[in-house]
Amino acid sequence: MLRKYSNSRRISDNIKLGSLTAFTSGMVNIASLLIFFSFSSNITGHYAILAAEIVKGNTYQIVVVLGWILMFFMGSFVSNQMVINFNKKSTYLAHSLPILLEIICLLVVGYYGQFFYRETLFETEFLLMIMLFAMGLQNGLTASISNFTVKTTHLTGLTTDLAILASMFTKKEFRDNSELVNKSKLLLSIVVSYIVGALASGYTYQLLEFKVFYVVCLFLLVVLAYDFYKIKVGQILISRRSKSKKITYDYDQLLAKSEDIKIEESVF
Amino acid sequence: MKKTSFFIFICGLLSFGLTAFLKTGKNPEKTILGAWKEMDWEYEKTDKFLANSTIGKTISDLEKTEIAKDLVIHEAETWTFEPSGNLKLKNGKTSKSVKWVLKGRGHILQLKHAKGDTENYQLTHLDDHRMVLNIELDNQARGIAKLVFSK
Repeated sequence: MLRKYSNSRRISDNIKLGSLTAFTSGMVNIASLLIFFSFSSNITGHYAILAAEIVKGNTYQIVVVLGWILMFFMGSFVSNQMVINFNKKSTYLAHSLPILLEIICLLVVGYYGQFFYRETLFETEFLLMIMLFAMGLQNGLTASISNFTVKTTHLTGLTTDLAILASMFTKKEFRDNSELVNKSKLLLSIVVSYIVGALASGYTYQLLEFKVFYVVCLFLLVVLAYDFYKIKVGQILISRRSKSKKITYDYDQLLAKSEDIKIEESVF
Repeated sequence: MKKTSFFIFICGLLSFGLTAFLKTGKNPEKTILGAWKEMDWEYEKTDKFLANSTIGKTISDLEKTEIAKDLVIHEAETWTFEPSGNLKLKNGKTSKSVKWVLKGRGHILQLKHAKGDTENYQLTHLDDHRMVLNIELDNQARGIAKLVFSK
């Protein structure tokens, strides 16, 4: 999911990454809506609210909403900075750092909410800022490493793309196009995962409250651990192969040497 | 790297500017404090043919009782928001106290009963003299009720 970059990614990589991250963003968005009465993964609504608050002349609300939008922007910016700066050193490191940072942000929200939250407006607004930053990180990462194919925190563009594909699939020539079929599979997997995540969050919120964020972190850890495991397994396989090759090479060299000795003995 | 630093500097400056700008705005959590007198109950939207009439918009006492029968605000005339997070609802000699918090960007007023039940109202307008709350109605009444208060 995280080891490959841009065009070297297969459709299965994108589906795995898209499904898991869409599931987490669905969970986060509904949790924030239920707890804070505001969305944290989609920004379009915030732009609309910003315009409405400007019209009403509510300075305080204008600043708060601008701050939220800025935090989402910063999340995506930081995420892509990590990808482009660390990619040459290690692709896995470059792609896992934003997820790690996202986990930290969500842990902070969960922990603070569970033990310290007194429900003041400032706390609500600040925790929402952290969540928007986390969602920006995630969206920036998935979009960046998948060549802008996977976006998992909002579904406006995705629903449009799905509608376009559905319309195209009314013609046989497009139905036979494997690239378009794969694209539709990816988009559908993201939509379904987002809804399942949102439902899971909605149903478990009454029971878990702020602990919902720990569950989200667990899913993000799965994303990190899956690729870490793949890399480790790959390294072990490579080292075993090179070792077996070395043993064969050493045996061949010994055999050659013993034959040389035999020849020398027969000469004498 | 220089460009990145410059960008971060700009963002920092913007955040500072926003914080300074925030100080000039009125924090709804402070504006709401004090005693508010209930002035009016009306429907947010009315039937087209009654658009120019006040009859269509005004909620009668009977309708009000029906709408608010399950709400904590039932028959309250004066709402006093205290900094401690208590809201005192007074009607003549009777008085009731609940907890209040603001959510979202200060646009949701949440009232909490002692039993743990909550009620949410949309705070659509708030200034030093006027407050408007909206309640979504689940009954057959027309959509959204508007509660107007003055200080």
